[in-house]
Amino acid sequence: MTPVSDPPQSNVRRGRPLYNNGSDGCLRVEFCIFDASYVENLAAGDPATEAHFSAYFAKFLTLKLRARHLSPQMAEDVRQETLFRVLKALRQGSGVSQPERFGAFVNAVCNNTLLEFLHQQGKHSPVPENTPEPADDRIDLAGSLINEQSKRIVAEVLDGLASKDREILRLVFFEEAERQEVCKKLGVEADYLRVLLHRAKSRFEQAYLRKRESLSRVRPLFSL
Amino acid sequence: MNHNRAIEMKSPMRYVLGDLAPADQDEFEEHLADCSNCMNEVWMATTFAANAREVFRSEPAKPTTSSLLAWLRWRPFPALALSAALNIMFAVGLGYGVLHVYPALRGQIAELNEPGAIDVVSVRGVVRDATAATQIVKVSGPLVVLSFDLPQHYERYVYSITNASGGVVLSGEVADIGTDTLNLRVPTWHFAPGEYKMTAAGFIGSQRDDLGVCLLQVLKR
Repeated sequence: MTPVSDPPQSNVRRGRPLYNNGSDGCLRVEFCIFDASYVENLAAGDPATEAHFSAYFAKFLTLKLRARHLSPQMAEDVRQETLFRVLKALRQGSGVSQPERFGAFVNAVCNNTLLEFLHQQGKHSPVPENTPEPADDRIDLAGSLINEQSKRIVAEVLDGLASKDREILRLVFFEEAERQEVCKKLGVEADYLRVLLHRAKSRFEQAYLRKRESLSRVRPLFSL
Repeated sequence: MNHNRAIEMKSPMRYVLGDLAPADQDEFEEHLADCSNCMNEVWMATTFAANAREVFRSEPAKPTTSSLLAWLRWRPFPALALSAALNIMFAVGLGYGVLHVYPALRGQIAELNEPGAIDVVSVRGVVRDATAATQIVKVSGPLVVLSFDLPQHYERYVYSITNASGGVVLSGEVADIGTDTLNLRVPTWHFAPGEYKMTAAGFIGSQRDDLGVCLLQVLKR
């Protein structure tokens, strides 16, 4: 599948995505389009393409498995197994018939892997009827998303919101209150939450990118 | 699902909020894996949500209000009704004071400000004769003055008035003013009709001398 809007040309050369190590030592993932050369490079064991592959799809799989509310251990196992199976299919199997849909291929492999894991889990440890609900440990799964810098920026964004909007986000993300209950209590439409999240996300993204740019400008001075 | 459709359906934010139906979620994930823009949207929104949760978690807990206060805050009618009831009670109390208590007090004050006759009763001294009857003093006015002869001067004088059941209704202490008699003005206007025993004693240090005892008969006014 080809996205409608391509990433900026400065970041991407068609057919060969750019991915590099940032000045802060973290791998910068430039979201880019997959094609035949990307898949060929990955199959050939090109280190840069491999690094991009694992970073990009680690993010995708984190998001996907987080939405499934899996335990951190199982999510990690599924993620590792998916990446392993994809590389194995490229190097030893039949490869990918539609390189431009490489992402969809990884998604399909993940779905199969996940089904197998769930099936195995169900077969080995049937859950008794009266077993209490397991603790919600999505926080641990989201550990890679949380760091001090992001928390500071998010705190600033939250402080800039109207108190009602802040309360809505607190009830939804922290209290995990029922969406309908929150809307009724604070007198907002169901769609308002989505708009509010989008607005807050945009402010966070702008502040986050500004901070990252200023860091990348300052750090070379210290490395002189 | 193509990118236009994903944007049209607001899929990135709905995915983060868990609002997509299972079939739409699967379809969107297939698109997400290939679309850098949607991936960025979802990643940023998820990062924001995860960090927001941590920010809220690290905030000090809000002071909790009692359930009654919270109930009143969310339901203004009972709160207003309670306030109205308290106001009515206050108005009734004020009305009673203005219409009943105040005129009575004003009358009594006016009575005290005007010159008028007052009963002055001399109370006999204490006698050792056990057969002697207690002196009875009939009281019909609001005040009575009880006069006690003093065999000597004392440092202070103590008086006490008890009702028929022995309960003290009035007691106190007065200093010596150098006269040969102790004239005690006793306000009886607030005494209910009945009999009251009045005693007076003089003190020098801890030495006590009984000055007199009488029975006040407060008549119905």
